[in-house]
Amino acid sequence: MDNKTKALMSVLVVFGLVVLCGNLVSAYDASTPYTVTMKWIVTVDTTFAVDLCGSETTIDFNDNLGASTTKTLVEPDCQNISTTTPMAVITNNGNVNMDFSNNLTASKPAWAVLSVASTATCYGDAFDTTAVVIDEDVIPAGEVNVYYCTNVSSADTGTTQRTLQINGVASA
Amino acid sequence: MISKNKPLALSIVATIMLFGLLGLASAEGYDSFTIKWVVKGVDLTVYSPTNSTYSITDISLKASATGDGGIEEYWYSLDSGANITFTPNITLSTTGFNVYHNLNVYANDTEGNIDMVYVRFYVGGSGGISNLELCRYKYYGRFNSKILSFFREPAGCIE
Repeated sequence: MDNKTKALMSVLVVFGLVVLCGNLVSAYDASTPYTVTMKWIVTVDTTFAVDLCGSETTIDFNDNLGASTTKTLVEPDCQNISTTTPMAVITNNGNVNMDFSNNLTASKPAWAVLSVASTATCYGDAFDTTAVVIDEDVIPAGEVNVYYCTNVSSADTGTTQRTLQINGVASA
Repeated sequence: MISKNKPLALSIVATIMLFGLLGLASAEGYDSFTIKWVVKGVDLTVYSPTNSTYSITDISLKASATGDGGIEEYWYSLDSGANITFTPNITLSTTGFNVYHNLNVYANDTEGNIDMVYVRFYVGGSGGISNLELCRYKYYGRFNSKILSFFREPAGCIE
């Protein structure tokens, strides 16, 4: 064993003794109580779920559009404002209040206007690729009903589609 | 041998773990869906005749259409005559000279949607017409309680 190794071992032994005896050295008495920090660390959970109306897997302006290339206040399939049946229900499955917004990931067709509302109306907020608020400060386990409508003017026949994104963030 | 950078690396890992525990790394999220506009119908285009004057009585009828599920058939009616099915393109034999002709061209798809294009053209000598109308109407049909109803809406006129 060379000197270098011996020196290193000595240092480790001393360090070990210091650690072992640390608690014995620390003495508490009536005037010096023992204190320790207690922490409640609850993970912020911002999960949420979106359930579409009925068995729909997409939001289709189909049946109510028919063959009309120009029409206003068109509801997507399954949604029914008159019976307050929303197109989607957002559920806050997290543990903090949340704000929900939505936007398209690519620009809407020029011949269409798209609106969203959290109440049963076709006169909601128009939106495109910039996110607009659907509802704010939704409590944990709270639900938001979401209604979509569209106006089309000289729409292209056939199918035109975009991706709708629903965003959820913890409320400020 | 102990790396000099190990304590620093451990600190970084611990910091990331702490942020993870606090949930700061998952404060946002999104879900996405497809949103669709589905406009049913046939889109018929008549390339010939157009709203113009022809000096011959044999007129080329050129048309094409697209529709849901494919086009089933084309037909036309000249001067309110009988409907005649055809496969584009054909030649129309008109009669008379210095006369206006009204042509309705139709196409339907396998889902019962119909498009019609109306063309008014003139067969004659010099001069002819200066302001003709070309109007389009969208027709669509639906079954309701086993009754097929037809609806019509204007899809625009060109003067």
